Amino acid sequence: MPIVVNIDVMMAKRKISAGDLAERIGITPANLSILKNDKAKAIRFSTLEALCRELNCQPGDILSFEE
Amino acid sequence: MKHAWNTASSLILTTWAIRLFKVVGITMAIFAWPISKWMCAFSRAPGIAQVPVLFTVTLYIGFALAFPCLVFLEQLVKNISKGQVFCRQNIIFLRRISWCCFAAAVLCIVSALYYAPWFVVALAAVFMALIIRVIKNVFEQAQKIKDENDYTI
Repeated sequence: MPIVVNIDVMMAKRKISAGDLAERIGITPANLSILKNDKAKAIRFSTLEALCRELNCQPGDILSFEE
Repeated sequence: MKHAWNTASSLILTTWAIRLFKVVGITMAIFAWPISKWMCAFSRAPGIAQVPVLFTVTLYIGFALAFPCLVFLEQLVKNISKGQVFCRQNIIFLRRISWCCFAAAVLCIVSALYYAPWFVVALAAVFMALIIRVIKNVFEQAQKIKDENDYTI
């Protein structure tokens, strides 16, 4: 899929672990792993909102389009 | 004690019904020759007395098609009991059952050459195959929706 999820980059920048982030945004570590590994088919606005809030970033920092 | 009829009870009943059908099928396969002879003696169709061998052949081939269907059905019910409803394996089972029904229809059409009432069974088999095919298509779509839902974070 040409939409790439860059959560791991933002997590590294903010120095936050996967388990910690999953707990803060209220999803399971397994679901966060699906998101990180580009296996997700869709992302809810509520999840995106929580990610942006916790990582202090914009949706464009997390999602990018690559051909 | 109050006992409510629920999905689990229904699945148990279905499983036992399938097992009963398996026993009936095996019994018919064992006694195919006497059943054929009785059928030929019972029927008043012209020339029927000469075809107990053909009847037996139809019964054996029919059993070879029906028994796998029952096995697939039992596995399908087992998967449903485990909560695995819209999965790839169930779609494969439904597709196989549908093809078995189509094959049974072909067998019955051929058998109708020596005993015309087989044609009615052939029509029933085609109808059943079509219904199962539609259910298979529904399962396929449902599996896509489930995947979409499971991978929406």
